[in-house]
Amino acid sequence: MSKSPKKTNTLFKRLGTYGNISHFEHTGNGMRLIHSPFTGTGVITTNIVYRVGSRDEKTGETGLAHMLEHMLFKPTKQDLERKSEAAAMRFDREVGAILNANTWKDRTCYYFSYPKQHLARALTIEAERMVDLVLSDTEFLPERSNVLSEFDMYNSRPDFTLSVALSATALYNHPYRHETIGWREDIEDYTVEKLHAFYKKHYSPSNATLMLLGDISETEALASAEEHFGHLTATKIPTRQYAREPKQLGLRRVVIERPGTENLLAFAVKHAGFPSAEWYNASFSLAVLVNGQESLLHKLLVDTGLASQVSGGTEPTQDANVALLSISLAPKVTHETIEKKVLAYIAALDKKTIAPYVEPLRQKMIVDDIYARDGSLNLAHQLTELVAADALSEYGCIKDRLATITPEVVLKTLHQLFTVEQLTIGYYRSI
Amino acid sequence: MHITTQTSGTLQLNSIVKPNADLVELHIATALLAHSARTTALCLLYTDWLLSGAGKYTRETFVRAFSLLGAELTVSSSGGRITLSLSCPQEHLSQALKLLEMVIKKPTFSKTEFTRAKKTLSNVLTRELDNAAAIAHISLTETLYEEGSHHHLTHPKIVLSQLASTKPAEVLKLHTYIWSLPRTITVGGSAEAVAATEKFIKTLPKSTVTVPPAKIVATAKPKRLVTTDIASKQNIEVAIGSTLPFALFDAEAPAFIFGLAVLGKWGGFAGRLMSTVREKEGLTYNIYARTEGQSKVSPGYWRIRTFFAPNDVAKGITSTLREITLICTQGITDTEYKNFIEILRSEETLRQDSLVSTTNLVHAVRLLGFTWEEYQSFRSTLTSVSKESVETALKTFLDPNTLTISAAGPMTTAKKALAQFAKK
Repeated sequence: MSKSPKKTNTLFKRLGTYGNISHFEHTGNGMRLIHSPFTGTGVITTNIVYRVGSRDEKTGETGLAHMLEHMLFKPTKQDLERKSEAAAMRFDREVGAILNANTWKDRTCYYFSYPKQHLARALTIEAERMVDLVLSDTEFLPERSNVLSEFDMYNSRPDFTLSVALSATALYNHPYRHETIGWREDIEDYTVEKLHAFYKKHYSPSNATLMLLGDISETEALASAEEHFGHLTATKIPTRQYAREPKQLGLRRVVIERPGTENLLAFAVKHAGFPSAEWYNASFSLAVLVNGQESLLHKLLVDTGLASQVSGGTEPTQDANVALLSISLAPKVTHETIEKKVLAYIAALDKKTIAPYVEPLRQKMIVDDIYARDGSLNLAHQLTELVAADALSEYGCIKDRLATITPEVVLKTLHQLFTVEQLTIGYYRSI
Repeated sequence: MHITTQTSGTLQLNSIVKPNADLVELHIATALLAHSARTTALCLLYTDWLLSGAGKYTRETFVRAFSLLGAELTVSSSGGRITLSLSCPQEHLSQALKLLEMVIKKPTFSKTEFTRAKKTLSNVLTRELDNAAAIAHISLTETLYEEGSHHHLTHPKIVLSQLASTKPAEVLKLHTYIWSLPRTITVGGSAEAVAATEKFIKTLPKSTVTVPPAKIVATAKPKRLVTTDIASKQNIEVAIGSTLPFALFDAEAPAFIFGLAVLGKWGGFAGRLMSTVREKEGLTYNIYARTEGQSKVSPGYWRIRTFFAPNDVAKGITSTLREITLICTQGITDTEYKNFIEILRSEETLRQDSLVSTTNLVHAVRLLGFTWEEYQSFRSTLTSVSKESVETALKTFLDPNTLTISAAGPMTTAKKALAQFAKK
């Protein structure tokens, strides 16, 4: 596919400006663009987010979005014509760009961070692999081994194994129920044909948001994006399917037993989608419960020697989902004891107990949000989830969103989340 | 960003000024403490107990006071040093520094909190017994270095056994000692924040002791193969490495570091090991190499870190050893040489993309013993070494016949497969 001659006018219309972020859409092929300047750093980060994730996979093909993410580092049509290895890999091997990609429930993203003189090269790579990836068994079969290796790496962790089982038990219908990497059995059954169909279905400029962040002006960003992507044609993206989760009619349980030494207790609680007010309430309330030393369950369990760690929280997913709270039990402490203790503790919570935690956590979350924008690469990660949820307008709004959260809201939210009939409880037992 | 480093007696002070920065990042690190299992246990306890209250604050109200400012203070023990790190919005810096001063000068150190900290640490260390990647690394250093030597890392089971008998008085004594040591302080933020922090630094206890250089004694005959059975794991974690006789300021260092990067650049896909063992052979998800423990004047070691499925561990290690042998005997290609000059230059640019990453980089450089100018000179040398010197350094110091392989994970089936590597 040849590039169009360099144009000085762009066909991007501005969709909005949020603080130092500008948001555009290409009037020809629908690709979205985000720009934010970091003058004088000498670094540009490009991040392209495709609106496809594990939720777009069907039964028997779980993990396909993630497998495809791996394949986007393989040769394109243009690489084969040049008789060279994949341009994305060459970028790392010749320039030392920081590069990677990741897949999650609602999106897949690919990012490069590099000295700014390599901008054209980075954009060429993204434009070519958006539409001209070549999928063959030669490249696919070893990479599938790598993905199986990755699966085994995660599966080695008790917390991962338990979280997979919990999500699959807590959710019956929604595709968030399966882990992003997919089931091992599905990975083993992938074929190039399945990958190709998925690629053609979801990879198009109209399904992509390109971020140009760093030492680059808005004018140059728009011109570069137009030069490299303006000539690409949008394809029809299938309407995203939405599955409604049936009402949960009682407590659910799952038990995993494996040889080992670690014992975990976990709770899966159901929460609303991002960026609803209910999501912020759930996110904040769960942080009061488990986020760091200054959290309720840390004091109840870690400080008293009953657990070595508590952790958990919500994910900023577009649809309603489950949040997982995990407790690493201290030696000789039983699952049943801690389950009973935690549920009784939450049931007995009152505003007075919660009140001292609210303002410190609020301040911490506001500042964490600022730290998350320190540098173009960090900003790219933060914006990815906003783009995935189609919620860019939430950028910089954390202070407003948290302003309405009071101890009463936290108490009510925790009681709602931990309604026993809506819970799924998981035990990981070492035998 | 404007970087300044200075040394005044026992204080190394470094500042990174970013105009209009609304965040401040501050690190205070001690000089190296003498290494022993007991010191390791005491230092880990100290990192928790120090934050358990100060002045009028209990542990709870103290943490809350920081959080209300949007600030965070952490204390860590790593590489033989204690480090206090403060992250804070610029607007609340003066209040955060007052709290920090209180921590350092008026910690409560209550007996109740000591008991709690000890129990918490015990539970954390028990969990660490299952950390196969860390265990593989620790076991490697145990065979490369004598006990008590700086690079000889301490196994969590040994730390646990030391922890059991620790007393509050020992940690109190450690606190006094820590604040008499030379220190390295690095602050990143606006000019006003840096000025305020430099003023605060003058209020800290004076350093009154000097410390001898780190004791680093390599063992005479490190084992060829070390295995640790951790039955709960699914994969075999592997650490491969050997000691190096030179420090970073020695002539051999840049060429060897360059060559090791070609073999297994840490992070990303550029290293040969990732191209072969991962991409072509599909044997692992990641495999990287780097030097460890070196400073401007002290030697360290090189290490490869990876993991394999138990059924693939023999193939994986064979492939890794093959690549080590190839790079030693055949050197690097002209293309690799040209590419890695560019890669290592880019690395420095990218490390300075954010205030926090730049602050961390400068701090790390100073802990190595370099001034910022010396470090720039080192990097310049690194990216202008000759291909011949790289190949000579690899041939001399990456000898596949003198390395150690350390493996940790489920050994029921793997042990038999690994036995072949016990001989050279």
